[in-house]
Amino acid sequence: MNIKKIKKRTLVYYVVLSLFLLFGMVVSFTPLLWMFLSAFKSAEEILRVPPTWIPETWSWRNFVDVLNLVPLLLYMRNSLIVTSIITVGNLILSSLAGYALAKLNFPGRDKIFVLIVSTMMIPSFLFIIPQFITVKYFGWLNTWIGIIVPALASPFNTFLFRQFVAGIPVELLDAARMDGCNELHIWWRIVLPLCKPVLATIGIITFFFGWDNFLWPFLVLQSSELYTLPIGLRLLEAAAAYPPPDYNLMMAGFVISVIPVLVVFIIAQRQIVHGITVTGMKA
Amino acid sequence: MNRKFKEALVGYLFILPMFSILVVFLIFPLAFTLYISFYQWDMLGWNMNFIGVENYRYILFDDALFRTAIINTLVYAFYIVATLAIFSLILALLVNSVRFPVLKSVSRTIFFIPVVVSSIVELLVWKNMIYNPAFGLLNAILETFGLPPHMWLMSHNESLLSVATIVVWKWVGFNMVILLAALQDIPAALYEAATIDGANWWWRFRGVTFPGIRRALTFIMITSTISSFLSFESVFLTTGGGPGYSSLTLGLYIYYTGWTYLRMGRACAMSWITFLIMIGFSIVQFRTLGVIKVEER
Repeated sequence: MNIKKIKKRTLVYYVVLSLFLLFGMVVSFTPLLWMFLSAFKSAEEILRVPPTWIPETWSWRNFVDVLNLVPLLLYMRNSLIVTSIITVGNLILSSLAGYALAKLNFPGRDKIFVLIVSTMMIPSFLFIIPQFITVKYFGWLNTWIGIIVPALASPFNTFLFRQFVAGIPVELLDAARMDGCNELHIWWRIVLPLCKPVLATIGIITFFFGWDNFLWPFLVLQSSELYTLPIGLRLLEAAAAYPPPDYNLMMAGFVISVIPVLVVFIIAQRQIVHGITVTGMKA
Repeated sequence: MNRKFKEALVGYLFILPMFSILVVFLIFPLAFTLYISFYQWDMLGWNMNFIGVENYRYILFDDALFRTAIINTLVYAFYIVATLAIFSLILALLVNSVRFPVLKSVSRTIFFIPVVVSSIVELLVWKNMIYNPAFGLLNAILETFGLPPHMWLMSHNESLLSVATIVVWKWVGFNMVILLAALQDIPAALYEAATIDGANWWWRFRGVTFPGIRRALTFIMITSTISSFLSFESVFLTTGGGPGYSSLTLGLYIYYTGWTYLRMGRACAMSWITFLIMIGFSIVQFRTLGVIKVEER
């Protein structure tokens, strides 16, 4: 009798907890669901008060029309190119530096490491104006180089690599040296394969941040054919909100831009969640 | 060439690409920001006027807008840090205690989706489709409960916290996952021992849960303080600082001072002041929340 009572109480307890959790999930999910549903409505239906949840007619045409309004696919391609170069370059440079900082002896190494670590937490607005001037001085304004090159060095990624490589046993590297491998060879053939998990994590983070970066490309790029996706999305907002407003097209464009990210997230969810939190915790 | 020399040479060569970019695009600019902050400069030419600490004096004593921006930023940051910590903790505790595995994994996915979706998309969706006073979702929901509509982003009183709410909504999943990882690291034996000792829910939370997640909690509070102090695009893309100056934050004010009014010297001085305030806050948080070693010994 008593045990049954306790069981009933815990069951009620779990149901109540689950209901709270469900409520949180609804709040978390609704804005993006709203975006998806709105993307299919007509320009008239979207302005209706009170709003309709399910579109009366599913107008798939919105997705074609929005691409005539703003060349979103071009911006996605641009973003893909720029962010991929940044990610790969960043991984190469920071793993090279991380390996040298962890395993090679040279005068001033620890001082350099401290310098790199101390720049890790410096917020971008503290150097963005001179950075802009430097890029302008190099003649890199309105080019992708101006976006890519400053993003290639990441003190944070270098730090993560150094910490990870420091855990690789020296004997392994020495054995390779005995066999006549040079350091570049060791880095490529031994260190990088051992770093695979950390490479994946850092790669994902770098890609995500690069993909979403707004301010720097916004300052550097002027011609619209070079725009990356975040700036293109802002352009889309301005174009679609221009009267008569086409909020449905705006939402359709947003849906198009979001789909690749969602697909990647659903496929590699475990790695992404794990990667983002692990690098987060180490910071 | 002896081996030591060769090793040193290789070491420098390996660091060189990363380090030279760091120096050119980060360390040098950092020093240059300090330098510019003592000048009057419009960035259009190289014609700079040395004016000493005038920029700092003006910002600290004469600039009413800077004061508005500081107050707004503090309100904004405090709201984000507090609500993020509370909600992500509640959600983490809920997810951790729910016994239905499907619900558990699905909820984690759902909470993490806003984290991975582009914040530009999210900000613009909230601005145009949810906060819109005429046909937005939020006012429609309020109306079904018989509540009066709000102006949200277009209201002097609500704009700042409306923007902050979007930020909280986006990041709560990220912080929840971090807290959840910390919660799952707490050994179940500790809870059993506490239960056997007759500890109630609150005492188990204070004695076992809280010490276990303290580091993670400090981490999420400090990262959210820093990121909300630096917030630029969240405000820029939604309200642009308006209506009036009701949502003008420091990041936005620095941007307008530098890029709209071309007062580079003043913008750089402002950046340094903002940075110092931010550092001050982070230190206070570390002191009050951080793992205090003396206590542990």
